[in-house]
Amino acid sequence: MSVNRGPITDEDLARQQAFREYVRPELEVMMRVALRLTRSRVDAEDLVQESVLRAYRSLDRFDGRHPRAWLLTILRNTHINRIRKKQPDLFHDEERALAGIPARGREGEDGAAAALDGIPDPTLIDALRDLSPKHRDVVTLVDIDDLSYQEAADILGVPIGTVMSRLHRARKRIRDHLLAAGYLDGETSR
Amino acid sequence: MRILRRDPSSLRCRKVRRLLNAFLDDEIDATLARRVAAHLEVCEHCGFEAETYRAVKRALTDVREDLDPEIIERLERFVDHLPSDPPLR
Repeated sequence: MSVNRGPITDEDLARQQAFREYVRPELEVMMRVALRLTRSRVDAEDLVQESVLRAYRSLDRFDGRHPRAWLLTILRNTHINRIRKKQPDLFHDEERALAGIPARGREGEDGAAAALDGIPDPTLIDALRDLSPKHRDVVTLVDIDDLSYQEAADILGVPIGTVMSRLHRARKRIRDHLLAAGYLDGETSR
Repeated sequence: MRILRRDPSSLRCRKVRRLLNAFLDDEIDATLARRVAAHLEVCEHCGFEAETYRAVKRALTDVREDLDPEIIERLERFVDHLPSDPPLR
């Protein structure tokens, strides 16, 4: 496809600078979310780069508000496109694609659970492993990656109400698990 | 006969429990947040519930791993060295 771009103008340079200012502060959260989605540092970094390029090319359609939401939506769509290209037979629906790629070599364990390996506290790992992938994904995005409800909803492609109900259920199960293990005794004196 | 009236601004426990996670995540508006906070001050059961959820949130926040700074530096360089020609229009 040939595109007539014309000479570079001051306006183009200003827009490029604006793009950098939108994107730079969001790189860390993009990388965290990409890690959740891909379960691989190499794939995650590659996914962030591709998403940044797509964002750059669609800058004209961005109104300048909520850059994080804009970038995370592009990240999500880029991830889904990549998964569909790689494994067209495995992923017939978005939710499966977003719930994590089944981890090869970890029989019986889903990808999201495998991503918990870096967490040091075994009680908390157990509590997170006990959750279904869709509940674990929400609590991970909101509590560990610090996304807002709307951002988590955008990434998962579900309504914000679904994020709220899944988060409520997930935290309740974690709380019950930690209470049963005596984990919360010292922190809740009443 | 004395008729007990509830403070019309006060929330019932059931509603507070429904709003509790959103309250802890700063995802409800300031007016409603003040009403939830007022309820938690006076209701021991809901206050306990809030305290345990706060502890869960703290525990989860504490497990956030630091990303390798080199990854972020590489991504920043990538952003800074995007093609100099303007984005497609």
